[in-house]
Amino acid sequence: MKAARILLAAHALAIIAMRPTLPSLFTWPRELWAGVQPGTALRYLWLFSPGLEMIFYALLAIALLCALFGFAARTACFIAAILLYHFAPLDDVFINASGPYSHGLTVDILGLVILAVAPATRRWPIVLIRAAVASQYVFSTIVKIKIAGLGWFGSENIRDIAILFDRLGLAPRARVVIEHPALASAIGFGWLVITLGMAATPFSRAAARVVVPSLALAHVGAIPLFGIFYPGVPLLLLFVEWPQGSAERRPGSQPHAADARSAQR
Amino acid sequence: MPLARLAAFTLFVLLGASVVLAAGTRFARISERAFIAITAALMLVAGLGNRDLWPFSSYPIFPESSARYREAVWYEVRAVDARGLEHAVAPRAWAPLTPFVIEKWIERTFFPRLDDAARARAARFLLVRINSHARNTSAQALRIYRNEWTKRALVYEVRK
Repeated sequence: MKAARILLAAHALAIIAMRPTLPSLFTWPRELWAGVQPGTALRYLWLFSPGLEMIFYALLAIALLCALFGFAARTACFIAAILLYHFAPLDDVFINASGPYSHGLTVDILGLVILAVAPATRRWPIVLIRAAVASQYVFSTIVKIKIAGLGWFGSENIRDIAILFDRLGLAPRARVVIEHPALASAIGFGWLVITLGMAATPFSRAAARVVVPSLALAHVGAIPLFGIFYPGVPLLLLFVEWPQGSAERRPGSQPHAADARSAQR
Repeated sequence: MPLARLAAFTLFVLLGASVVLAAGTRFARISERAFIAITAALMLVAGLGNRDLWPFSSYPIFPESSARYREAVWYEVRAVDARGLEHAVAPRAWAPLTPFVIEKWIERTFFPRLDDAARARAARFLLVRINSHARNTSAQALRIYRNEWTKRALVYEVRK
């Protein structure tokens, strides 16, 4: 739980540190907001003055730092989660994209709420957070199958994606995929198996040991071949079984026995 | 509808709060189970039902086949200096937005939703941002190009 808190807080903090002026969007002219759907402001609680939003953003950074260093950790996680929910959609909303938003903050929000409320000695919180990480891959693949069919993972489609990103100037090594259909086939099949395999990883350490490193390698390969860097990649570290910190062991508790019982539920 | 979508996150947070309030009481296990069940249910409803309940999501990332990639259209903003030379715009000019978001915004809002006057105001705002982040040159104009697979066309220009 301590490791999960540090990972989630550090990940969210890194993303918001890359966008220190995010709340300044509230001062951009109304023409920029013309395409934003009615009701969006209510949904994300954008009901305050730009000045107050800047204060909230600073508060978000402070809350994440407190969560990172374990100072009033539960309260900090809770405040950070609510403020991340408030700020995370702030750029993709201009292009009417629904979540997940490209900041990669979606899992952070769910994870920080879970850490804020869950008992420290139970195993289900980490299983639930891992399920949130895994759901990105599993649901993304299911949507592809529903919309485009299994052909999405075929050699032709993978090659076409490489051609598109090559043409857009995003993928420096796309030619390798374009010129080697067997590689394109392997990428498509591998991605299908790995992403569906993620469904087992929250519940099976054996599955996590095989699937998560494969997924990490796939993400690394996607950078030169397709020009895709997914900001949620560091969250795969949530599948590592970190040693438990002493602060999480309460006097008289037996974390390992409790974990084993909880894991069976 | 936005309120219904907010309700999913609100339910998640409130059930979480109930776990804290019930800790150490005889309702502790029930509240934990309710929280786990509702969280899992929201994930499944959003994920399998492709519902917009963010932060519960179906993660629709590149879901379509790329077979029609030759029909792709993308926009590009260029700055024009006093000598009439075009330059790429530094990504920091759009900060905190990314060039991708600005270019999609041009496609989805700038052309289809704004009238001429609003379009000019928005373009001048973008030009001011380009100049406030330019190092050595001052942009006199902003040009927007529409790119298709085999052709590129100038579709908008605004001057200082």
